[in-house]
Amino acid sequence: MLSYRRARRDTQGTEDSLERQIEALHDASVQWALACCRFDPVEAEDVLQMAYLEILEKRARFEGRSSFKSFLFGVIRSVAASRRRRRFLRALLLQRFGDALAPVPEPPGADDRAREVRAALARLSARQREVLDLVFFHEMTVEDAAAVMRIGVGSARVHYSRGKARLASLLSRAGGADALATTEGT
Amino acid sequence: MTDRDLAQALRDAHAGLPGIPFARVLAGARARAGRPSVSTARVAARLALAGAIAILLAAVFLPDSAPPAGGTRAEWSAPTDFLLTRSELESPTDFLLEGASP
Repeated sequence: MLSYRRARRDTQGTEDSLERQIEALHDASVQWALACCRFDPVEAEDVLQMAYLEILEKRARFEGRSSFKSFLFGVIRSVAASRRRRRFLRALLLQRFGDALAPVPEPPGADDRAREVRAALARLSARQREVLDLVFFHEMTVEDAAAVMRIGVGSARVHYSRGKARLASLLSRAGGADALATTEGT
Repeated sequence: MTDRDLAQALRDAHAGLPGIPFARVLAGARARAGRPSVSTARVAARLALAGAIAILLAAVFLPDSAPPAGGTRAEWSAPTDFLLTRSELESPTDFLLEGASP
């Protein structure tokens, strides 16, 4: 009986500690979930709920092979990817490709610059988008980003450099078009 | 475009999005706990359906037992037809090749 109580207390303690670790990284996790869900806040909240549940119910276990942040981000990414795949397959079965591929509506009050960068990011491949978000927004190293994305470091470097070049080109083109529009307007 | 510009661009992309409170996410996660996963239920239903269809097809298209190759069902169901008669057994030369000496 005593050992049962102790075991229960230990489990409770582990759960509390996991919950505290998750809470400490929650703001970063929200931003990462948004990036994984094409900046759709409703989808991001569902993904976060499922990812936290995976960890709290120990279906996803932290084994200390990377930082807790990399582990948590990896779980969020994998939940988001599986939901995306399921949505796409459903659309495929129901012949409603438009629903799965339709751009997410911008939140009210989003400024032009945010809209422009999100549109440019949407034109990158998922892996390029992810590695750039992890490195530039979450200030991770490419090695940490590779651990989150569960790919090799070499592969992550390739996605990083190609993504960077493509994003820079897309943003310069968008900036040029804006400048041209302003000149023509005056 | 420098790395600093790209970092600023990524920050701009994340700007202005609504926050999601931790308590709300945790409450939602707890509400999901113990609920059977939708995907598991769907997979089980699809497997059951595939199994039922396979059994149905097997019942319709597969015969009760297949006759041996080259024989009709009637021949197979009367296997003694293939046995040699006593007279055939007593004159084995019938089976020898023409021109060969016994």
